Amino acid sequence: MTRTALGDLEHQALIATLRLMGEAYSVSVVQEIEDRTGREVAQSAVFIAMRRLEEKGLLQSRVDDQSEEKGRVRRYFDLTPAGMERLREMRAALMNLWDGFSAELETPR
Amino acid sequence: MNRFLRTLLRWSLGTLDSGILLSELDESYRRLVAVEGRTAANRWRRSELVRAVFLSSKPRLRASVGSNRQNGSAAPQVVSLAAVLSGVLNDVRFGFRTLRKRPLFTTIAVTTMGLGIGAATIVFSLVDGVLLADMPYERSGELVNIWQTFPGWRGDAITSEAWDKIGLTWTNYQTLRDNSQVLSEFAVHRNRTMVLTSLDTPERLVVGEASPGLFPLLGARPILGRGFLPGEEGPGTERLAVLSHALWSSRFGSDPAVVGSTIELDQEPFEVIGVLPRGFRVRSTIFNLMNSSIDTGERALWVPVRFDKLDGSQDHEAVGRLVVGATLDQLRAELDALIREGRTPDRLGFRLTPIKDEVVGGHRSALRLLLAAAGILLVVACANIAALLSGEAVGRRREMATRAALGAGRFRIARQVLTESAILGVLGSLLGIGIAAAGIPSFLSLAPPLPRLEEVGLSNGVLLFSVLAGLGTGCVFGLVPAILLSEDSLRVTQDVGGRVCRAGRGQFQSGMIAAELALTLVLLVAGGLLVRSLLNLTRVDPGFDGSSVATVRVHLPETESNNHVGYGSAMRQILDRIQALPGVEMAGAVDKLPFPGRVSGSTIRIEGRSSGNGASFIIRNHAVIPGYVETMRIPVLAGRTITEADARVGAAPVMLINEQMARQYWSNESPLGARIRMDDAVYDVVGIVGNVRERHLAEAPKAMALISRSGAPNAMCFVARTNGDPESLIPEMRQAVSAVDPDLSLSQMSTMTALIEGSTGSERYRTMLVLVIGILATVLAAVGVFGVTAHSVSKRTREMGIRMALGARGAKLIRGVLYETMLPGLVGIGAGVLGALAVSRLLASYLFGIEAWDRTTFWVVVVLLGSVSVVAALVPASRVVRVDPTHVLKAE
Repeated sequence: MTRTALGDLEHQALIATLRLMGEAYSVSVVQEIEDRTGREVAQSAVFIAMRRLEEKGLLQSRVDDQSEEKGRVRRYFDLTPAGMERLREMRAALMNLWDGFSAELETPR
Repeated sequence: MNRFLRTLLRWSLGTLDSGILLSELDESYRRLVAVEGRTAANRWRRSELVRAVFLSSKPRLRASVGSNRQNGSAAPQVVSLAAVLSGVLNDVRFGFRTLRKRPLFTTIAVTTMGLGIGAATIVFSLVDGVLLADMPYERSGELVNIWQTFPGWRGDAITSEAWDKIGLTWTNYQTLRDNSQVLSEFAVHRNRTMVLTSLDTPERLVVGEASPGLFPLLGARPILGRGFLPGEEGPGTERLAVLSHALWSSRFGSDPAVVGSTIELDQEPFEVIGVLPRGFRVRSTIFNLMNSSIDTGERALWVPVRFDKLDGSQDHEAVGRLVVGATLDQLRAELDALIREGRTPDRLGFRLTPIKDEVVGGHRSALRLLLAAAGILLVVACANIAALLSGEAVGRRREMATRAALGAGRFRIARQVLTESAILGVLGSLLGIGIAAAGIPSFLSLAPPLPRLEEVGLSNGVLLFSVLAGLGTGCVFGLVPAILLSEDSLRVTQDVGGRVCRAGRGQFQSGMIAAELALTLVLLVAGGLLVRSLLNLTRVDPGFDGSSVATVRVHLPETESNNHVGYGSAMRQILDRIQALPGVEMAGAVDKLPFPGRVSGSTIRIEGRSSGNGASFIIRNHAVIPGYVETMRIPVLAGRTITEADARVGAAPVMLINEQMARQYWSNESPLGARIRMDDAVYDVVGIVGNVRERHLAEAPKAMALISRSGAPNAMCFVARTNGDPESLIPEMRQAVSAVDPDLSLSQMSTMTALIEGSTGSERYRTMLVLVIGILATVLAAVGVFGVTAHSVSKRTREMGIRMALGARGAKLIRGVLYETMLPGLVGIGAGVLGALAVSRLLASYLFGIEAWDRTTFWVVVVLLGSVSVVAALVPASRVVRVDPTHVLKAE
C-alpha cells in the first residue's frame, strides 16, 4: 500500500488533536502546538493540513455553528481509528529509531 | 485587497471551508487586537489569508458532503489544479514540436494569420485612436460643446454648417457662466494669429484665447505661474500671456524666470504669467487659421479671451462640463428655459454636442467601413487556416489513432489539437503585431487629415485586440479539426496503407474555399466601386481651369484690417508685383478660394420684387480683385466681367452672378441690369459666369455672386496663371508679398491642382485602403485554393498513377481535379455576388456617379477572381501529369 509520509506539521497536528480530545480546531491546535513545542505555527497552515489529513482518512470533522456569538463557526476534528493506528505506528517507529540513544539526548556534554 | 483574497480563498477552498477558516481566523484576530494592537493584527490576518490561498490552491478541496461521514466512504474530490496546468504545459510543448515538424504548413498558417491580423490591427489602431479613445481631458465624457444656431435657417443648405455652429455672444456667455445649474464649469476659447516680435526672428504663431475657466475645465494645471483669473476676459482685457510647454522649451530655453517677464506680441507688451503642461491641446472645430482642414489643437501661447462685438455672432467656441450625473437633455431644457425667459438677446437657438462627437463625429461611418473591410479580411484569413488545418488533419489520422490506442481520451486529443491551433493563433498575432508596428507609421503618413491622428498608435487596447484576434481565430477555427480528429480516434480502423476515405473532410475544405471566395468577392466589388467612384469624382469639371495656377493667401494683421484705404493699396501693389513676375500670364485675387473652400453667405434682396417670403435670399458671395475670373478661366456666359474700373474707389459696386443663381431667381427674364441689395450696398448685376464647384467636387453648385470691393476682408488669396511650372512660381509670389510689406503673413501656398486633389483626400484614402485589403484577401484566397488543390493532388497520387497506367490522358485528369476544386469556387463566387449586392447598398453614400449594383464592376470582379482561382488551382493540378505511373505501381 502506497502511503504518503506525513510532514512535521501534520504529525504534530495529529498529536495535538489527540490531546485536545474532541475540542481540536485550528485555534486550539495552534495554541497546543505553540505551548508544547515552542514552535510558532500559522493557523491557516494548520487548518489546511488538518483538512488534508481528513482527506487521507486520518481525521474526521464536524462543523459546529450553534454558537452564542453570531457568525461564529468552527470545524472540530477528531482522530479516526485509522488515524489512531497511524499515530501508534509513527510513535513506535520513532522509538525504534531512538532505541538506545535517549541517554545522549538528555545529558548535555 | 482583503476582499480579493477572500474571493480567491472561496474559489480554492470552497465556500464552506473558506467561511469556517475565516471565522476561526477572526477569533485569533480579536485576541491579537487586544494583545498587540490593530495594526499588528491586520498584518497578521493578511499574511494568514495569503498563506491560506497559496497553500490551498495546490489541491482544490471541495467541501465534503456530510463531513460527519466516516472517512473512506466520503473522500472529497480533489481536482488538482497543478495536474491540469502540467497537462496543458505538456500539450503546449508537444504542440510546438509537432508544428516544428511541419515547417511549410506552420509557415503558411502563421503568415496567413499574421497578414490578416496585421491588417486588422492597423485599421483598428486607427479606429481606436480616432473614434474610441477618450479625449485627452479629465473625465472627458462630461464635456460638451455649446453652439448657437439660427434655427429658422437650418433648412437652407447654402452655407450648411455655418448657420448651425455659431460661437457664443458675450451676453450669452456671461448668462451661462453665471446662471447655469447643469454646468459645473464653463469656458470659451477661440484662436487667432499673432506675431511674436520680441525675439530675434519674428514668428507668426497660432495663439489661443481662453476665458479664465478653460484651463481648470480641461484639467490643465500650469506648471509655472498661473492661468487666467475671473475677470480677465471680456470686451477689454489685460495683456497677459500663458506660454505652451512647446514654446517655452523651444524659444525660451525652459527658463523658469520667463514668468513675470514681458514679451511683445503684435508690437504690444504682454506679461507672461504662466506656462502650461506638456501636450495640452484644444481643438477648434469652427475653422482653422492656418488653413489645414484639421486642427491639431496646438497653440503656441494663450491670451485672455476678448469679445469684440458684444452681441454680434462670434467665433468663440464654448465648452462646458456637466454636473456629475446630469444629462444633455437637462442642459437643453435649461437653455430652452433661458431662451423663453428672454435672457438671450437674439433669436438664436442652441446646439449641444459632446466634444468627442464634435471632433470625430463626421468620420464615424468611414472608419466603420474600414473596420468592416479589415474584419472581412480577418475572416478570410481564418477560413484559410481552417481549410489548412483540416487538410492537415487528414495526414494525422494515423497519429491520432495510435494515440487513442495508447489510451488518450477523445477530449484529450481534441485538447491537443486545439492547443496547436492556439499556438498558431498566438504566433500569428505576434507576427501581426510586428506587421502593424512596422506599418502604422507609413499608414499614418499617407492618411488624410483625420482628427486625432497624433493619438493613433499601438495602445494597450490595440495590442489586446490583436492577441485576442489571434487566440480567437486559432481556437475557433481549430475546433473543427479538433472535433474531426477526435472523432477519428474513436474509429480505430486502418487498412494496410493507412489510407482513408475523405468524405467529410473534403466537404469542409470546399466549404471554406467557397466562403473565402465569397468574402473576397465582396471586398473586391466594394473596392472596385470605390475606385470607379473616385475616378468619376476626379473627372468632374470644377468650373474653372486650375492647371498652371499657383496661389498664395495673404493675411493682414488685425490692427490694419479696418483701414480700407491702406488695405486696398497694399493688395493692389502685391497684385501688380505678381503680374510682373516672369512667366505670369495673368493674376487676380479672391477672398476665399473654391478649394479648400470656406464659404460665407449673405442675405440679399432683389430690388423691384415685392417683399415677403420670396424676396430675400441667402447666397454665397466672394469678393474679387479684377483678374480673378480670367486667371481661373471661369467662363463668362453673358454680360461682362469685373474690370479695373469697377475696383476703383468710388466706383459703383457691381456683381457677377453664377448660372445657378440666375436660373434659380430669374427664370423668365435676364438678370443683367438687376439691382441687388446686400449688406450695406446696392450692386448692379453686370454678368453671368459659369458654375464653380466649391469645397468638394461632389457638391452641387449653389447660388453664388462675385463682387468687387475696394475694401475687402482681412485675407485675400492671390492666384496667378503661369506658362511654366506653377510650383516654382510660389516662392516668387512669396517674395513679391514680402517686398510690399514684410510683416504680412502667408498661408495656403499651393497650386490649384494640389488643392483640388487635397479635397478628395479622404476618398482617396478610403478607396486605397479597401482596395489594398481586397487585394490581400485575393492573395489569401488564391493561397487557399492553391493549398487545397495541392493537398488533394498529393493525396491522390496513387490513384492518378493507376489511372494513367490504365490509359487516362493527363488533360482529362487535370480537368477532373480542377472540376473538384472549381465547383466550390463557383458556389463561392455566386454567393459572393449575392453578398456583394447586399453590401454594396450600404456603400451607396460613398459612391459618386455610379450605382451600387453597377454591372461592369461586378462582371470585372467575377472574371478577375475566377481567373485567379483557376490559375491557383491549375498550378498544382498540372502536377498530376508528372506522376510516374510505373513508380506508383511499383509501390503497390
